[in-house]
Amino acid sequence: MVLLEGKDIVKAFGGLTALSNVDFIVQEGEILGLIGPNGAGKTTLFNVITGVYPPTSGTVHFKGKEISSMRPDTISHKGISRTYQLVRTFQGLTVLENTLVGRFFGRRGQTTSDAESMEEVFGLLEFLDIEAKANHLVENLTMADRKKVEIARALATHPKLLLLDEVMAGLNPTELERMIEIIREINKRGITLILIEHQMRAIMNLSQRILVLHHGEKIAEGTPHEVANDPAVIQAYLGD
Amino acid sequence: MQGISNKIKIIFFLIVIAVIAFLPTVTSQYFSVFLYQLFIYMILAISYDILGGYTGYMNLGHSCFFGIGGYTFAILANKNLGLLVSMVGGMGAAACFGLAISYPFFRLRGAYFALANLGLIILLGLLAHNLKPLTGGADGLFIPIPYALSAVYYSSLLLCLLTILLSYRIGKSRFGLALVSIRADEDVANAFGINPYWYKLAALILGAIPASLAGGIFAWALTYINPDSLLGIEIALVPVTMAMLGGTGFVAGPILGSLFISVVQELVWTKLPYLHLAIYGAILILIGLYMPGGLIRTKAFQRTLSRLGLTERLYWYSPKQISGL
Amino acid sequence: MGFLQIVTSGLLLGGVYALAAFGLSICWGVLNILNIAHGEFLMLGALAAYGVYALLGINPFFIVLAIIPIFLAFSFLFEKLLIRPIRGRTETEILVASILVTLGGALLIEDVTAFLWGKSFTGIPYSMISLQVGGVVIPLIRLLILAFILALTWVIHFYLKRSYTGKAIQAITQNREGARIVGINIIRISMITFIIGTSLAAIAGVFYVVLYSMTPYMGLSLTVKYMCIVVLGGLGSLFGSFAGGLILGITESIIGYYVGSDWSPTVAFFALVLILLLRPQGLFGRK
Repeated sequence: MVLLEGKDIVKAFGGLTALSNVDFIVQEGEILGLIGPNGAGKTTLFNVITGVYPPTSGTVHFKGKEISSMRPDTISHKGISRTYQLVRTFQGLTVLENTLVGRFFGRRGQTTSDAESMEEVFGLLEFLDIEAKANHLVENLTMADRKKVEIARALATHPKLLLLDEVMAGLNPTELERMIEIIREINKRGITLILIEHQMRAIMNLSQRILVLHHGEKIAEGTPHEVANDPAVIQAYLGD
Repeated sequence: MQGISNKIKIIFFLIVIAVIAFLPTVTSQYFSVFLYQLFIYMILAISYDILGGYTGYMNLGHSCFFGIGGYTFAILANKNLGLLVSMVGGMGAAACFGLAISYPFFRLRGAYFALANLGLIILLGLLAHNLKPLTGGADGLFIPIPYALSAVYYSSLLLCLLTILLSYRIGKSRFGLALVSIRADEDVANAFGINPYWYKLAALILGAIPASLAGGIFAWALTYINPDSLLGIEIALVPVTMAMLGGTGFVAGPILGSLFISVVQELVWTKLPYLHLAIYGAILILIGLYMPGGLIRTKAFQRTLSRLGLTERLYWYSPKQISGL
Repeated sequence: MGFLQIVTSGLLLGGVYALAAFGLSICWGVLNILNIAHGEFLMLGALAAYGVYALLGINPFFIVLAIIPIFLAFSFLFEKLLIRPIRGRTETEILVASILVTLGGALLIEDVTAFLWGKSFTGIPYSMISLQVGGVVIPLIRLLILAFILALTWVIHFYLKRSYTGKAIQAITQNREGARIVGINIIRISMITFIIGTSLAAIAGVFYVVLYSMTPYMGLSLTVKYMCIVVLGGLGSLFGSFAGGLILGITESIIGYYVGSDWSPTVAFFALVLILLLRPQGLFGRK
């Protein structure tokens, strides 16, 4: 079943066109990789999907319903959540509190008692190996741990679709392996994923399909194997 | 290490309240007046901080609610609607006002929001002057309800305790968590299902209610009000100074700040009839430069507070204690 | 008083507003701090003008020359003592600190001034001949002030477009990160901008007191007014602040005459609410 569909998406900022005529679909249950050189428009696409700004033209449909002009909080309630390329955890709050925000407000109709919510959130922190830091302020964490907090916070919203923006950047090989495991496990639990990454091996390994953006346009789409051998893709990465 | 147990804290608190309630019977009238004015300031400082501290939206015009509450109370009292109805009317008027201004003003952020709301005080002061048939203009209004010191004292004490309770409960609630996440990063809070406008509005109104009731009580106590007594710059900025000095974002801060400044005011003001605003200004500058977190976040206070088990990290605390904290 | 007279006097008032609002706007654009004490600089400019006039009796334009050095020094000190120390903090911290510091500064200046000089001081009764233009009587001094402000505007416009500092100011206002990457020394430009911005307010004050009376406590309501103008014209649009000031001056003058002078201070405020409801990015701002 098609979970997310973008048709002919254009996003312009004044004179600058960040996305032009981008079409894509995301099947329920898959992992879609989103790659492209820097400035290709990947994060812009995430922003359009999550309602940070509406597309200049074109539409986004989620589970068959149009979400193009919805506000971020409504989109979160519908079941789409995300992390940020430049980590944006809530400063002044602990790891636990950050995650609880996702738990309490990310989805409608999830009323549970405080104790149950804490239990569940703590489970998420354990899943991401950061339970020891539950009561630490996020400012005091390493970058890698803060990325995990972002993932925990997003997972706490019980998303159907999770958008991860460069969660693997800056991780050492051990952390990288662990992150790949985590992402696989998230997908096994029924969550569809779109990953923006520069870590080529990882994303080729994880994704069932890959979408390639360059200068705001889609230049390739297909299985990792197809994309890796696509001359346009090779050109984009080497030629620039 | 949680410090002193909860039962002892509650008993201590109740004893303090009992003492304060008992005081008017043994102390001078002057002291009782000092105390109820302290309560009123404390209410204003705490209610200001509900929006200002938790969400970071510094509403410098918070005492608009105080002024509207007081004036509405006076106007309704003059129509012989009685004490209670007039108070409730004041509260209603302030809430409506808050709702009305929230729509345009929450489009502003940061300093613009702060300053625009300060402008509201100036505007209301002008309206109070100009709308003579309604407000009596510069001559003001008399309140025909008889004043009794003990009634004022106990009602302001009760309101103060309720306001403290309100702020405390907000701090520990999910609602409060949403507010502080707005403060931390409003756009990201939005992305996680929080509609900032509704939460900010709720915080604004929750702060408006105690402030407007305090305005009613204060008007009743003064018996005669004019634009300066309810909508002056001093009444507007002193509670903010108190909240910032004590420490914004945590209910103990405004309590401490209002205690501190009220005492200092009492000791110093009689010796120095001028330059009150200048002193507040100097305090604000010093806080801004050296102590933006306020007194409660200085090392000395943090140590005392943690020994009493009263740290800010009361809100959401993982029961599963692991190494590291 | 004919309509034309009202409009010209509104234009003059607007010119004074525009100057001060423009100063606030460039300070905001470059320092990212809203200087709540901005109105105090206007008040102090007016006060200094009053003092110089009382001593020397010279015309306003020379007064401006005389007080410029004082204000350059004062602004420099203000920036160094109050603004510089809070620059290095995080964004939310800077916000709170800047409000505290500038608000505190405003209160301090107002109250100390009131203490030293008494509660109010009237305008400068500097008069020259009056001109008759098309059946309307306009004091020459007002025309000269208007001309001066226009000339000053032109100079500022030139300065912004041609000089290094001017271009740097525009660059920082439009794109802070970009300006830093290009190598612009934001701290130094901030200092200069602050001094220019507040000095413009002081100059506006000199002219203000020639036309109207001042009190030491006017500063805060003036700052609010200028803030309204900046929002009206559009945050980030330097030209917008200017236009906004002119529009407000004329509107205030009209309202003041037809509705009552007690109501003219409220105009800025209602204009703010209106703009926020209808067009939050201001008349000339970008969304």
